[in-house]
Amino acid sequence: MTESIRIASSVYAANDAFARQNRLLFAGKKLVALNMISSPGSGKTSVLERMAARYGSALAVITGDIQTTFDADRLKAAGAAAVQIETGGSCHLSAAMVHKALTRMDLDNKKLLVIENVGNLVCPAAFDLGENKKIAVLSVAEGDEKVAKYPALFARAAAVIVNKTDLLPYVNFSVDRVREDCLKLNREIRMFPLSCTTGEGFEVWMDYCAGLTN
Amino acid sequence: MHEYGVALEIAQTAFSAAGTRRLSKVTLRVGELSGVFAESLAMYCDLIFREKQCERVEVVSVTIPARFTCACGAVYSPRKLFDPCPSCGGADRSVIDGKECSLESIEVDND
Repeated sequence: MTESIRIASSVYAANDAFARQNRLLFAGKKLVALNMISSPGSGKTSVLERMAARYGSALAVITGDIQTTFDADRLKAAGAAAVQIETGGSCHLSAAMVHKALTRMDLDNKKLLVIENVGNLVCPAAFDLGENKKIAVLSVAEGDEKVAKYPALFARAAAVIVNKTDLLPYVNFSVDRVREDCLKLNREIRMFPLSCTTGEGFEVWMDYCAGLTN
Repeated sequence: MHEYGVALEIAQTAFSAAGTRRLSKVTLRVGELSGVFAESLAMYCDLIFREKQCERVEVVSVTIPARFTCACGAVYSPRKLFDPCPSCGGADRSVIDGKECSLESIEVDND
């Protein structure tokens, strides 16, 4: 005899439970947490290195990659408190991975926590890590059609950093097109064109971060 | 991209609910905004079930269309995901349906 059993089990339920725990922890430590998402090579770590030069050890970073500790090593050298997650193949960080990484960090006297997600414009957008805001990073060398092609991230992001603006004279990239495409998806989104090489535009981004942490 | 991991989790939940009974069918609900590609998820579920249980488990995937409420009050399903509101052209919306991805039900043989 066949019996039908209702299960109604969400595959995101376990992730969301860890995300809630992370959020409570951040609130308890009065810590602002950003989930930084981009394609590989957009310059997330370079942005964080420059931020570390300002924040020093008040900046905590959890950085995710398939393998290697290159990013955490760079960020520690820049003065931040950094922990690497090697996902071993997973294309995104989960709230459980972040929760575990948090146990390896001293979060006292930190102002800002940035979770540098695995380089991928698709999957990381779907997983809540308990962050206060999602930050998208896009570099001008990737092309200006990325917002239209990968809308899920930009629809959910509070801000988008357009990085490597020093390369604008050499590539076909319209910052205005990116702005227009972002605003079609998300009227609240803030845009920060900047260059980690020259430092142009970086102060505006730092002012935004200061507004979040003060 | 991450459908294999999701499929493993679903299979584990399904087998745990079935216990010693033979699993014959699973029904999934996959929202268009869930970040999960339904066809790929069903394929991986099928592979995992075949590997763990010699007999075939029927995998049914129900797609849940995206549905938004706009700040203007309109309720709409976009033609393309993340299209603006067809009434006012705005993007200030909240999701009603489409984010879910769940194992809805299973069927087991009690014989």
